[in-house]
Amino acid sequence: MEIYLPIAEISTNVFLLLGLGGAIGFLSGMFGVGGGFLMTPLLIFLGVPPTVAVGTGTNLIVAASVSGVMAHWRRGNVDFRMGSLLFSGGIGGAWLGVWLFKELREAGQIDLVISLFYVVFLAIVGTLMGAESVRAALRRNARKRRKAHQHNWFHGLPLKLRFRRSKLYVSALPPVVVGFLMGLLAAFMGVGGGFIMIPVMIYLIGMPTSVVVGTSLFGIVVVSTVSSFAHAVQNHNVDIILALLLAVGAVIGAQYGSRVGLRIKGEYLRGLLAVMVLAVGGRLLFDLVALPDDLFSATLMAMR
Amino acid sequence: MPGRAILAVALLAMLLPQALLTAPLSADDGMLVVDLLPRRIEVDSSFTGSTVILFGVKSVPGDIIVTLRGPEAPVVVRRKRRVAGIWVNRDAVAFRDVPQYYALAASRPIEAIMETEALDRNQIGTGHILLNTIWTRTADEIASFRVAVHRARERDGLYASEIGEIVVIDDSLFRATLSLPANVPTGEYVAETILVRDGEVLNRRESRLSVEKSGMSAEIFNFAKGQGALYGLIAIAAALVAGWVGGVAFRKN
Repeated sequence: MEIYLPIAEISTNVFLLLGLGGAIGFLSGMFGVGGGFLMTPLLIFLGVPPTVAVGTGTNLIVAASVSGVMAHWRRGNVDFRMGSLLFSGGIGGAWLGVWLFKELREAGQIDLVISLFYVVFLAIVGTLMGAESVRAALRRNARKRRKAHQHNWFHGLPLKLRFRRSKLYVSALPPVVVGFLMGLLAAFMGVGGGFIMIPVMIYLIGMPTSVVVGTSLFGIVVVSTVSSFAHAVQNHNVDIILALLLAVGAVIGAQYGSRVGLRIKGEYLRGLLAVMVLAVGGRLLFDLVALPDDLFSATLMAMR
Repeated sequence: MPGRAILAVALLAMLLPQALLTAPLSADDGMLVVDLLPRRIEVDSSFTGSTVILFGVKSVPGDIIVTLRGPEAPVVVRRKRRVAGIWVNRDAVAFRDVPQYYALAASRPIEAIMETEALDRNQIGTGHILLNTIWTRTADEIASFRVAVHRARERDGLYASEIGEIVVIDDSLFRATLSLPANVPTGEYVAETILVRDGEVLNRRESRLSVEKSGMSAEIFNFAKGQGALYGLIAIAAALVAGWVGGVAFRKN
């Protein structure tokens, strides 16, 4: 069954989109990641214009993360004070990111920039994850207990605030800066950015792991909402039909993914995900380096 | 033979009455009567392309050439260059008023009907479409960019790579079938029919065709472009509801 996507302006098979959403949902349920950083490249491979893939991705992440936030909220695992700081930084980052995105689009460089961002981030994330899973698999038995958190230079910054949920007394600056960077990433890549926020929260800010996932999901929903809105206003690149079809697939897929994920050892899961991330990044890099079919590309001039 | 022409007109009028209602005969223009079916094409979510039939009557001998041009818009052509191993858009040439669609049909091969110079003057054939640049460049630099416009449009099926056939009956009734692909741009199209004898244009007729988006996808498209803020809020609300419903539905299982 073919469906015409009004903003992407291509016709695609409904079941292909549901299946793609399901596969990404399955992966995100299995690995516990947002999946946005796999979704955007796959949509590009499908023929969706990169700008629409990113704009729609921000919207999809809202749908994919909201039920997770509610579940964590019910269990009291969301630090809203931390979340609102992330939020305030995220708004600025998202608006700046979307504005830069628009300028680059009009200069004809946005497709390249999106691909470059992805190649770099997928390479970094894939390598780190792969190395970490190998290390974990090697010394599974010799695991040491960490301290609640270590004091580092982050804790010397001014503007200290008390975060009751996180049992912390730290500067308000790091969360705002992290939120800002996440907003930039969300705007440019259509990803939630959990894979960056979680390590920052644990290792730099020193939040207890129990509230990290809920709070980062809250931050993801908020930042994605802002960048989705900014994209819709400035770039008109959010395809609501595409987002909803993918979301339906993703919500269902996530349920089955999380069941499978419980049965596989964590380090193997991360190793598998690392391989997948590197494969997608490699394909994007190949497209940038290989001789294009046509060196010329013709596009309608932006009239706005 | 005027008798035969009258018969043909009568036949045409009988079969397709709107041809005569909208294109009344006058003394001078009587040698060419043309109409188009349909006059309006709606592109909805199930649109997979369409055909347009142009038919008419000519009262004098001669060849018929039909061109169908889509809405015109400025186009930027960019050329990639390798920078540090990566292909990057570097040079750009902008053309004004590039037809977004172009199709051609002729009763004989066009080279046999007209000289190259006349084809250029009348912009007949994809190679003869006038492409004016917006930014000044040297002529030989532009040539490759100009070819790239044709190539890109042909690849998208928007410039027909082959010349369509015109069926002529009794040297007076004629019919051309032009096809529009699924990705046809919306806007006003102009079909021009010219009557040529001995390389000279005897008469020409313009017929208009409008291609419009319709149905839900058109409404979504227009809404998203026209009221981005409201559209953005609705898209977010839809995503929140979808995620929430999904979460609730699976929690109860």
